[in-house]
Amino acid sequence: MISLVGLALAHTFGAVLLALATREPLRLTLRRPSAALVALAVLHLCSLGPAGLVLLAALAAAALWARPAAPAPPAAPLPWLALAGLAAATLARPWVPTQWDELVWLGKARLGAAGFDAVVDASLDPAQHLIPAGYPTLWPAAVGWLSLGRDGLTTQTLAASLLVIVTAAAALEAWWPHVRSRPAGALPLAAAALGAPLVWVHLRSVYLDLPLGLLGLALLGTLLGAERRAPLTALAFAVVLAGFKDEGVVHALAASIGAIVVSQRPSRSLALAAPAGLAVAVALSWRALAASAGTPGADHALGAPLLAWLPQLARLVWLHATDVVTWGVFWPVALVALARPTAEREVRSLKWLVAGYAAALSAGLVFGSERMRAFAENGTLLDRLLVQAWPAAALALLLALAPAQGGAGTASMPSAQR
Amino acid sequence: MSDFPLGSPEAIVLDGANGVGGAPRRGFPDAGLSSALAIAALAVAVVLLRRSRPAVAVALLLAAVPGAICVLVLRADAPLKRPALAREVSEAIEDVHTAAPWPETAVAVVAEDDDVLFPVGRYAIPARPPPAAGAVRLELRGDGLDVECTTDAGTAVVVCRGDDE
Repeated sequence: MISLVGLALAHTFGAVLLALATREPLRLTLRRPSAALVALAVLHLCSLGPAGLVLLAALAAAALWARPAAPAPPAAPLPWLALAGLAAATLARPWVPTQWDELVWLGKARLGAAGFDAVVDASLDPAQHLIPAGYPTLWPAAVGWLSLGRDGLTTQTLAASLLVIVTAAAALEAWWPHVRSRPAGALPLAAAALGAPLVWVHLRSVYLDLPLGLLGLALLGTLLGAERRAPLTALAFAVVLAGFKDEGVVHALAASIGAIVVSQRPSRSLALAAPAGLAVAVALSWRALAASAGTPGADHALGAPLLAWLPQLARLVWLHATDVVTWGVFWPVALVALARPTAEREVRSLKWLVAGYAAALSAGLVFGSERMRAFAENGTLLDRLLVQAWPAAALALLLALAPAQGGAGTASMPSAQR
Repeated sequence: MSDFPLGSPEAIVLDGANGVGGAPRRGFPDAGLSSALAIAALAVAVVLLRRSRPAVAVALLLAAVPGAICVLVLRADAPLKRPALAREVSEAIEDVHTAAPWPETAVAVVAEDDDVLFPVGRYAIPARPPPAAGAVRLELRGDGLDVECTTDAGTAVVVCRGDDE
């Protein structure tokens, strides 16, 4: 249970930062699930040494630039009962990792017991032979921080599970203003939430794929609600995305593109692109640190494209996405929901998020390492990449199954910039 | 051991996150049926997404039933089976830790099979610096979570072997 204390501390720290950045009272920012992620973003940058401090200064500057002149009106309360149900569904299991990557990543988290930046130090020490080499460090480091230095299997598994819940809650917080006025009955909600069995598996594991997709969705929702500039939460989501995994940058870019394309004020494009720019800077900084330390990430290295592999990639994606035991018929129906013409701003932005993510990941595989293509061929990669795309696709599907009152048209604008 | 591809603890460790029924690793033996259902669902969705959304929602839920059965009943990490799976994994970790107590003792993993004990070993000994003098030399072998560790009298290497029974 020490992880709950760790989460509470992170949440409180993040809420204080949010209160400073948004001028909202602390009693309101404490109710925002995204607060913990703000704290993790700051902690991650602090753990990266001098380069991280430069990025932290950039984050602070961008947050101050976006600071409103007055606090926004209080947001509508979140569906806390639903969140509690989600948390219960996620946690109601033995807190023991049971799948390959869970064990490997939580093994890295064990290093966090040695100190605040121990995971980073070990990741930048080639003599430690960590695997996978060169990967960003925030996920195992955050598990270590929430575990308050305790090296224990159940502590770390609980900490990681709490992070999964926090990312889901952040996505809900970001999109609640956009969807709460829609009449969504139980049937559309159930279909969107339960129509993809593999997601239930990932919800009750501590793989990073579902949290990445949820954070990308959270970033998009936050940018859609920003009146002028990208608020601190959006900047924090971008940092966390880049800090969790290399694919996180893809999510940040795709979310930003989605928000920019549907923006009703083209002059805001630069402001909306700030989180993506920060994510790229964080990712490039980490790659530079790892390369200079002799621990480059060979898995995700880019090189000459293997264009002849594209038909094989398309075939593999079809096979994975249509496997009825794993995905039901979620992806074919979601594809129709995403492809249908609509004037709804939220749905259009989700289309761009999913399309941008799919295009970027496909390019990453074509231009990427042979090792990654081998993972795609042997069935240990593509379904997890589809899990990353699931949150945005599921929301688009839900919005198609439960359209706004009066059919097409822009949904009600959120109350204020956050 | 269950005949279901992901019906054993070892299968969950190796492939649990990569699909619900183990189809990717097995080369998608039901690809024809899945593809037919996908094309049918596409057609239904194109026709009904504007006319009868509840029908589309019902189709989504019905198509998820096979996966639901796997997740809730057949897989070794199904809710009623998960405590036993967790126990096997944690005991395997504990057995390796007892034989090679990292970080209290320096451990050098001199050999490991690319099987179910690989990730167990990576949790038990995540950092692998060059072996220090006096380090426990460890081999991780086998394809199961039922781990037994013995010390080779000649080489002093601790061999942790996992069987799947």
